[in-house]
Amino acid sequence: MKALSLTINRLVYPNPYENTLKAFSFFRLAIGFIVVFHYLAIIQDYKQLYSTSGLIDKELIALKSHGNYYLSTFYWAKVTGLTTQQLASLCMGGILLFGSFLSAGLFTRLSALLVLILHHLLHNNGPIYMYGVDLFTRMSLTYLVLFPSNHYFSLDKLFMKLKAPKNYDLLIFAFQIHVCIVYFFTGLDKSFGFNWWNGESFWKAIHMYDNSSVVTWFNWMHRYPVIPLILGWGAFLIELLYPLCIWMPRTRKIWLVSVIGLHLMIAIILKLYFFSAVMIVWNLTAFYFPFVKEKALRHA
Amino acid sequence: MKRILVFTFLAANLLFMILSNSVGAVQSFCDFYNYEKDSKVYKGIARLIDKPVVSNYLAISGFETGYGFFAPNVCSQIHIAYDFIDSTGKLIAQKAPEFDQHEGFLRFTTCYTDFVNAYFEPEPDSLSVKISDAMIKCVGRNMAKKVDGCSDVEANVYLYEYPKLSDSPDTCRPSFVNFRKLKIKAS
Repeated sequence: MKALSLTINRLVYPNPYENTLKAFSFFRLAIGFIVVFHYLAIIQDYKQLYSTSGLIDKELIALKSHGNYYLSTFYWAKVTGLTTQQLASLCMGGILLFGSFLSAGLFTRLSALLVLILHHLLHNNGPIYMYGVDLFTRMSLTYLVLFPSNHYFSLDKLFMKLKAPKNYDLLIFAFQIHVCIVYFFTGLDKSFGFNWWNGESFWKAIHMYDNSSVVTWFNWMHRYPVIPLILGWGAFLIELLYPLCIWMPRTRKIWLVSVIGLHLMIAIILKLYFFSAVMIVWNLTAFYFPFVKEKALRHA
Repeated sequence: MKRILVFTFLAANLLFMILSNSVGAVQSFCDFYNYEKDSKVYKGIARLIDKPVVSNYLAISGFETGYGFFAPNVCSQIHIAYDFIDSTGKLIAQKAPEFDQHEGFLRFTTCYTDFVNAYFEPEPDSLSVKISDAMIKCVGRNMAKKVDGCSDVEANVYLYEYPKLSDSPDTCRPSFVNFRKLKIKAS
């Protein structure tokens, strides 16, 4: 086990301890901010989505509920005697409060756990309104329960005596493998669709109904179909080859910049701001911060 | 000892992730190309992931997530517009659900994907079609509460289409094909 750990350390990190702890702290800070801003962005439309006077009645939404029943406001409304609307408001407030605690690094692991539970309570009875960012938020919060992420820029560090973390190398390595799995399967699934090979899927993605404000930007591409073809290939090859190229020192920076560029385009064109932000944070945590001093060390 | 436990936990976690995504990839490939999923390995892995302990853990931690975004194909989109009619049959308003923030709109229209999947599946009277109809009607009924004098609502479901790359370059305009009309009594 020790030999394996040393091999991993030598293979993956030039400066494992400090860089990894900084990476975890960055992850906590960024995810905390994203959670808070994400829920602030929902708050104005919250009534239409999650309250009993919402656009779709809760009885109908319940027909589509597939989450854990014990982690839904339906169950807790029966237990506590509060209405689902009161509970949903409490969840919303709790997410904002403990999300702020999380980014400030106050009771870090407990705050992450509470935000994760409240996220389930709020969304498990309205799963029809969930999309990718919610699932990545859940995974991020689970990692924040596991990661020692309060060693930099945190109130915990200020007020408590923190122990030197153990097993941080295994945790970051597992996280890095996870990021590779995400991109590999995203690319693999795309490669199954023949429309990704002829550029039609890329063309369709940039002309979706939701991006009606930017939809005409790309009409010129219709005269040069080779451009969407190349861009479509580029998108799924960046994803499919990610697990290979991100580990090779020569291609790591190119791949990191490419994949971050891809997410910035998703944010601008598809307007998936929070999803893109979470994915950029995952990439920086896994493959930027742990390697920051690699070049300097190689010269030393 | 603790290190071995952490290692085992993380390894199991990654293994479940790989297995559930492999099942997802096979499923999306077979669904897309209409293949039967009768492999014993596929069924065995799917059964393991469906075990309550595993599936609950994956669901709570979020690790159940499938990563097939925009794959294997970019899903078709729909637009729903509502006509609000008074007791004399006169059209008094025409609108779609409105939100203050883009995030609210984005979340709400996530359920449109379920509607697309329901309306374009081979079974025209399936439970998911009935649920989709009921949800669209419910939205209309709730919107009508804010329209003075409204007695009836008509929901029009449009398929949004943009010209393909293979179409003539002169036709770069989206089209909306009305494929479903639902009558709703405002109460």
